[in-house]
Amino acid sequence: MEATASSPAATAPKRRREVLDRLSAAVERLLAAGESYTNLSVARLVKEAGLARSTFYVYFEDKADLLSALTEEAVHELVETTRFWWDLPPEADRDDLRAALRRTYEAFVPHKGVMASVVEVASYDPEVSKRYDTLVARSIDQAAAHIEEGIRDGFVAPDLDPRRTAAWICWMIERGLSYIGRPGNEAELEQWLDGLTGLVWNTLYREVHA
Amino acid sequence: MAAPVVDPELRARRKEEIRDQLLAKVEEMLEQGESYSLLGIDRLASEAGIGRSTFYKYFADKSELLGAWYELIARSTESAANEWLEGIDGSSTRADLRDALEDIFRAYMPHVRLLSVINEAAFYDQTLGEAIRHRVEPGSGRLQKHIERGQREGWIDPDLDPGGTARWLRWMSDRGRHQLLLAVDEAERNRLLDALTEIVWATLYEFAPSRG
Repeated sequence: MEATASSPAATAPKRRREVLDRLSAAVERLLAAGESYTNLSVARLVKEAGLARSTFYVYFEDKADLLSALTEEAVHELVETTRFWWDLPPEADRDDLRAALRRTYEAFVPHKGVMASVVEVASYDPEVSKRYDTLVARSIDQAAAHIEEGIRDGFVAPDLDPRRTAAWICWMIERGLSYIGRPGNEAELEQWLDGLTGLVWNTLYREVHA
Repeated sequence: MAAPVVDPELRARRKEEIRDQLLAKVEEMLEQGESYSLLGIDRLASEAGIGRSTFYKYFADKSELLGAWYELIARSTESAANEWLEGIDGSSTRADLRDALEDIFRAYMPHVRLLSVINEAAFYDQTLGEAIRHRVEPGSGRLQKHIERGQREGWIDPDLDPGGTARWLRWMSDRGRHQLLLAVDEAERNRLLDALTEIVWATLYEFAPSRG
């Protein structure tokens, strides 16, 4: 059958988006209140999101399916915002770097519940763990490309091994974000930023900016 | 029949024996691709050749066992880490740092799979998480002291925040080791070690006044 503008098939993506947004906000609220994703039921999730249970199952097979959709989106946005870092002009200084890293943190905050959930679920679900690793691998690719470009154009220390340096730094940031995302740890944000800025600045840029 | 053993020293020793027996068995099972979270205590105990009731005499659950293993492994990696934190100073070279970091890798690698399990479990297991933080915090505390001493003596970059930097280095080595070193050959491990050495060297020592 051909889909017309008013048919369910045509409105589905928009409706799915709306459902996903509501569920995303519900997960963030429940996690912030100290719940764990593992212990949440679909019933609890749909109630918090103000949706009918049947609506949930139109778009998602189960809780794991929802989590993978939420993660995909959160990671996409996180990888997007590291652009603030990659797009820094070659003459950028330490303060510019710190500001860019702060924006990455700010982009992470609205998704911290989802990100904590995926790390939690990945700890016992090999499928989720594998998918999560692929997502982190994407940010490693970007960081490695940035380092390669910087070496070529002379704004990154020339002796670095782009791929392996990027791998260490990305996994470090992944862990650091989940730490600062835990309730109560936001108070340490400035020190967190200072530490990260110093490490990244000295490792990548300082030698050629001196 | 003899009275039940109550000598606390003997009990502690027996507990260590069982811990080590289970450790050897579980590392073997992880090596074969088994999942710790899916492993039941019955199966674990029987594989290790101990009775279920013996298990429960010494450990409340699998989580407590993970904690005991963590203590054991942490002690050996910490003494390797001290070689770095006490041995590296203003007279050290990048090669010295690489040797020190390699010693930490060596202490760590035989247990990398199990430590990966422990680290992940700590994420949703509060008690275990606390036990690890209890260990990790003093760990980054010692690194922080190393940074502070180096800054005072002029061989570490004075612009670094000692506490924040120590934390990030700790996250990098903990998380990176689990993610990067699990399934790689010797050559790749060496290249990863080179990259890590470079990061630690540049972060802490390269831009110190004493090297200016």
